[in-house]
Amino acid sequence: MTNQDRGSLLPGLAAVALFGVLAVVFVRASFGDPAGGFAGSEGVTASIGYAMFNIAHPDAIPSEGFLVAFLLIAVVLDAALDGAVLLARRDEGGEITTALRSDAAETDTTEERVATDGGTVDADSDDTQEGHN
Amino acid sequence: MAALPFELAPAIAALPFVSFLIALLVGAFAPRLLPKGGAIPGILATAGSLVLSVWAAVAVWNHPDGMYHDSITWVAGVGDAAFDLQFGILLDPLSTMMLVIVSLVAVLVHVFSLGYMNDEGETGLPRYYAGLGLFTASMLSFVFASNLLMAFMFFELVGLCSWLLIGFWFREPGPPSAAKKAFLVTRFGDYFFLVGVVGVFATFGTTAFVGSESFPILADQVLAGEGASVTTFLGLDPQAWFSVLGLLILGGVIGKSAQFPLHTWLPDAMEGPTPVSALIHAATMVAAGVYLVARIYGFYALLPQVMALIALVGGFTALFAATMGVVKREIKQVLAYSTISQYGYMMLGLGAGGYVAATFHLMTHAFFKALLFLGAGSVIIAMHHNENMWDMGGLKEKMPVTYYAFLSGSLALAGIVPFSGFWSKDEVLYEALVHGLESPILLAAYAMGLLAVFFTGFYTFRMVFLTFHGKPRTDTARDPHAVGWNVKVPLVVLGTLAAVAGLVNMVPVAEVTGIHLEFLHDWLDAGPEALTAHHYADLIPYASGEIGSPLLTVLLSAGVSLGLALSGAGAAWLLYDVPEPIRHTDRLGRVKTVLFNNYYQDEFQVWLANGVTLPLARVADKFDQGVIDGVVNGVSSVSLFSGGRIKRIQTGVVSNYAFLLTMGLVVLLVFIGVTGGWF
Amino acid sequence: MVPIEYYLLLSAAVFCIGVFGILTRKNALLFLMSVELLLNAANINLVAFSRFHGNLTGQTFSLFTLALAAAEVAIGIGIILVLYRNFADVDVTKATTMRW
Repeated sequence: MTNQDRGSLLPGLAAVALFGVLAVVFVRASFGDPAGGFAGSEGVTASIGYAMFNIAHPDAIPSEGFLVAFLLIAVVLDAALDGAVLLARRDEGGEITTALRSDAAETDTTEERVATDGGTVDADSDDTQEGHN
Repeated sequence: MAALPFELAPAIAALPFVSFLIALLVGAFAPRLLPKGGAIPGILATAGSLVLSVWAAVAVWNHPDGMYHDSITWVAGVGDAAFDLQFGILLDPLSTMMLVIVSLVAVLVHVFSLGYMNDEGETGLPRYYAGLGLFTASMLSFVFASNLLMAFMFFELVGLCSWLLIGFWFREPGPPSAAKKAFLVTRFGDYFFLVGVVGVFATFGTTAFVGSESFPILADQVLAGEGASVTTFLGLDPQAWFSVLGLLILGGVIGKSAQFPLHTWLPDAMEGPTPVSALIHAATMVAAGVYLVARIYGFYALLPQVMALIALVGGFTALFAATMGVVKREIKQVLAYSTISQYGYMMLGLGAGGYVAATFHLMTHAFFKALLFLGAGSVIIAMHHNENMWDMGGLKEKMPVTYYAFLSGSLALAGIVPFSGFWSKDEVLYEALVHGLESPILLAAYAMGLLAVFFTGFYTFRMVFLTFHGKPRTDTARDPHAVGWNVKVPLVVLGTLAAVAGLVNMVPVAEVTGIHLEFLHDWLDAGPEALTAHHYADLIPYASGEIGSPLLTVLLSAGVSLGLALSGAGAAWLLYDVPEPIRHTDRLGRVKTVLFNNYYQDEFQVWLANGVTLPLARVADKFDQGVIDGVVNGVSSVSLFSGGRIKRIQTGVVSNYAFLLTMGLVVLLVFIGVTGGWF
Repeated sequence: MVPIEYYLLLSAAVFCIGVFGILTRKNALLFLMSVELLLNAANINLVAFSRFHGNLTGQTFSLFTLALAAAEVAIGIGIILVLYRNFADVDVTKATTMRW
């Protein structure tokens, strides 16, 4: 983080203006009377659990069912994971490198390596105890 | 279930169409399999059509209604005030007579083509016979069409086929240009016809020729004030509006039947093969126009002004074309102008109220003009395709069959008794005279027609004498090419018909002797009431006059026209029936130049195109390019310019987008807040 | 009980801080953080109104918002990786090739 990161502060005025407008609106708005706490004797966390799986419990705090949304968000997260993996893979010297493989060709193979017994060995040597296959 | 010949009626047109398909497809994919380049299927198909046509004619004669009508709807009307578009077959005495004529001429032309095209070693024969087949098929369909729209469609197809066939030798410079001219000039007339068809639809809601709902009958009822209601346009009363419709349809007729001023295409059409000329002039293309008027005669008969115009145009064309025919050098050119002139007579007959007379002349003319063209074709074969009459002479001894057949046709054309042309032309002139005695316009038309008789006799026999008499003037004429049976047979058949066809309707003889000889009149009177000759006679808006007594009128009319024809022929005999004829027409001086250049009609039409239409088109083009395109281009350049500027907003920097989004949100909130009263 | 306006003002403040960050910084990672602020400003609203109306829907939904934020960050980090690979920088103002 250097000064390079700082853009002009001028556009920030737009954010300030937005806050001004929002604040005026919120302060001047009337919201009616609050409900005054949750109905139902179950705890908030337990009730969220019920709502999440569409379980009708007589003592739960009222809420809508979210089972479908739950499943959908599961799929979305999965897709996001796949997307992230897809975006992160790269093509380097004809070899595709992804985050899911341990043999990422990050290292220069001609470099000397640390042998298991200490010291270094040549990469060309036939030391099968080296991790790379 | 109608009688068998009526059930088979569609095959009359379908057979030549099949021969067209055979010539086209086999000719394209397996030319070796096609006998005689397609001539044999063509001959068989047209012969089949002829047999079926004759059968249908006999059946019509024996049928109690005197007609057969059937139709299918190919586009059904939708909604209010809709009308159906139909294809139909109408067989009545007029159409079956025409079917017989067309298919007969087509058979003979096909046979003749064997001699004219095959034996001369022409290439592209499948194309030629395909064209002939389609030409015949479309003309036959046109003839038995049961409504104006169908007639129009086949009318156009006939025009297309004439284009194909006139331009058959498309590698030479002349034929393609002549074909284009024929196509464009007739198309100019057809524009009016098309508008007329649409007008008839809009006015009557039907274009049927026959039945109680047909448009001639509706028009009759409207003009008689009997209930039927029609839609008229342009604020005209029914009488005037119907006249407009009649004139619009007449536009197509004048183009197709080569009447003044749209006759200029026809002489140029001589560039096509001679059998095609025979087909065009005798039976198909040119006859279509006159036939159309005869077909809807019940409509035209209601419109006196249009009738007078038809008569006047016909009479004028008859005289006008005949004078031009006097000076021509090529045998086919003379025949071309004689065709224009003879169709002028038919128009004169129709306009003068002589429905039977005009139809009669249409029939006899089909025979003798086909004969003359085929005879000319025979001469042209003999002369190794030299058409100049001044290079001929003395062919009488060398080709007697052609000579006598040609002479028969010439006598008919000139109107010498007792050949067919005399009876029909005389009847046309007689009708014009008796009605003209009460109507000055008709009398003028009659006078022109009468004068044309003299010229007809003159140019016809000038042609005969120059071609066949005297001494041979070139080596080719001294030793002409022999012609085969396939040339002679059609000539003999048509020569006989040209001599005797007039006997079916010998009005003067019937008047004098009192013997009933008007067979054609009976035939045309046998159909359904609304299409009969006597119904038309009731409708026509003319009174009949007479000179002295009816008998005297008939004899006077016949005598005058025969006398004029004989004097024309005699003049030609004096001038040209000598061993070494000289060019007497040179003595006409500047008149000859004018006549030779066809009264500068072509030049006039070219001037119309170049001097009037082209500048107009240029102005329109300027307007289009400048104003219309300018506006369009201006709008697009404004968009381009502003787009080029506004796209700068898209900097590609995310922060700027975010800034715009935020400001947009602020502005929106303020706007909604102010209007919604949040503040 | 704290009046709802206070929560809303807090939420608006957090949101605008997030927007401010997006508007004034160039580092893509800071963008991601700012977006987290925006999402959590929304969460504050959800929870506040959930309490205000005595209904758990808002609270439950805020959990989903969190999950969504996780997904968004996963993708966002991936995008930043690609950005870095193509432009050798995480400065968002440098990546301006995808305009007209």
